[in-house]
Amino acid sequence: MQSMVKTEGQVTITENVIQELRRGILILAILSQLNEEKYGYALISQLGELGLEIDQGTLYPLLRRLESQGLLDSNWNVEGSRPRRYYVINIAGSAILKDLAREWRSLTQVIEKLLANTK
Amino acid sequence: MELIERYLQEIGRYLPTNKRADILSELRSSLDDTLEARNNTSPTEDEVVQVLKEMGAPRKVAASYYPEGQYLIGPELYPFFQFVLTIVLLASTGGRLIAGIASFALSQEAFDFVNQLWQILDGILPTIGSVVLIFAVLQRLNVHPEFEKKDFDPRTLPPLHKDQPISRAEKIFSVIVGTLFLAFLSQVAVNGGFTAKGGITPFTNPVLDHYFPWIALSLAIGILLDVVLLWRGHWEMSTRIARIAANIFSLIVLALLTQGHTVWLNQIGVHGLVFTPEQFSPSPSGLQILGMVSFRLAFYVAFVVTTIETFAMIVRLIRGRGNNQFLRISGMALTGK
Repeated sequence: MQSMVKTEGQVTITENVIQELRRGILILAILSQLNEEKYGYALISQLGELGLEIDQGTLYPLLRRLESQGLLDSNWNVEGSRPRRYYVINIAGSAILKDLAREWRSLTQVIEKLLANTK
Repeated sequence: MELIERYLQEIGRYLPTNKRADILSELRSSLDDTLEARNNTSPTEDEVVQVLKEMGAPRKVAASYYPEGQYLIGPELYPFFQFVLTIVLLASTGGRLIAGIASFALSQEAFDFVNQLWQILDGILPTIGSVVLIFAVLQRLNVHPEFEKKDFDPRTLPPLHKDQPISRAEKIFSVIVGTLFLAFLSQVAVNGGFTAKGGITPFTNPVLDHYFPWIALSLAIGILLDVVLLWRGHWEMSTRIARIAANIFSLIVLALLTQGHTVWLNQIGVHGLVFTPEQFSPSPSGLQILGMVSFRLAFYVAFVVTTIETFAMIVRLIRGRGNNQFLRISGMALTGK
């Protein structure tokens, strides 16, 4: 009888696949929360409170990438207890967010149908 | 805290110079926020270690700022690099090999195999290095070859590459002749070789005698390859490569033979490539000289024919490799069409 306990290799594959699945979703999640200026740690906290955990090593490079793609604007704010870099979605980012959100809703409907008979 | 600064310093080593300060400031700010959020204004070393572990190893953190990865030659350029390297290596090594054998065949000096081999190997590393350097520069300049036309039309794809069939009659004839010749050479060798006992004859040939094992080996390899080809029924990449290798071996043997004959003829005062009527005498010595000159001429002809055949095989091999979409695409990228 085949054991239900996953081997180390299977666990690694599962982790990798989940990471891949999350990668695209994270962009949508980040863009959706940046309609007002936020610094990295505040964004991590907000996403965490809403149930989406993201580590700092993933978030900061992703914010940089979105900024270099012209979807976010950023600026250093030195008024608080320490200097922080704040990010906010711009017009191009908002347009992309709309498209992404529409695609996401459509996909979730399809995937839900596909997974209907999956235990 | 010093541990945080050491951590950031290590990350900074792997970051691009122009963005380093900015990224490190942001990471420092984030680490301070994290520690502060854990209600810790003066964290212990263990707590800092925990936060740094959560952020990840310095190399990993730095690498995540390169989403496209860090490559000397990236995945887009690599197939193109492989193609160019193959052509350049074949051309430079093949050229050196043929030139080395040819110059040796025409020279009268002893064959220095190690030196010849070293000269060929000596050229390989600089060749690879140069190609790698050029592609590393292209990668650095962010050059991306266009691998696909924008308007892709499947009907323009090249036809399927079919292995070239062999001529069975030609191969059977070749096997029979080669076997008979090998048997004849073996029989002569068993009966005392090409050096006749009890006097000089027109068939006396100490050079053939000396190199008999190499001649036999070269012939045997040729026969074996023909048998394999008959069995397979068509040319393949592996048989083409084997044939080229066998031809190169034959060229080396032919070079040894021609040079051996030249040395022998020079020793008895016959210089130059042509045997003049003045040098001929009906004496046994004159007949042997005529025989040696004839053998040398035959080997020269064989050398030239084998060289041409080898080049043709190399061209077919490259064209065979190129008879796929990749070469077409590479050609497009090269010509910019």
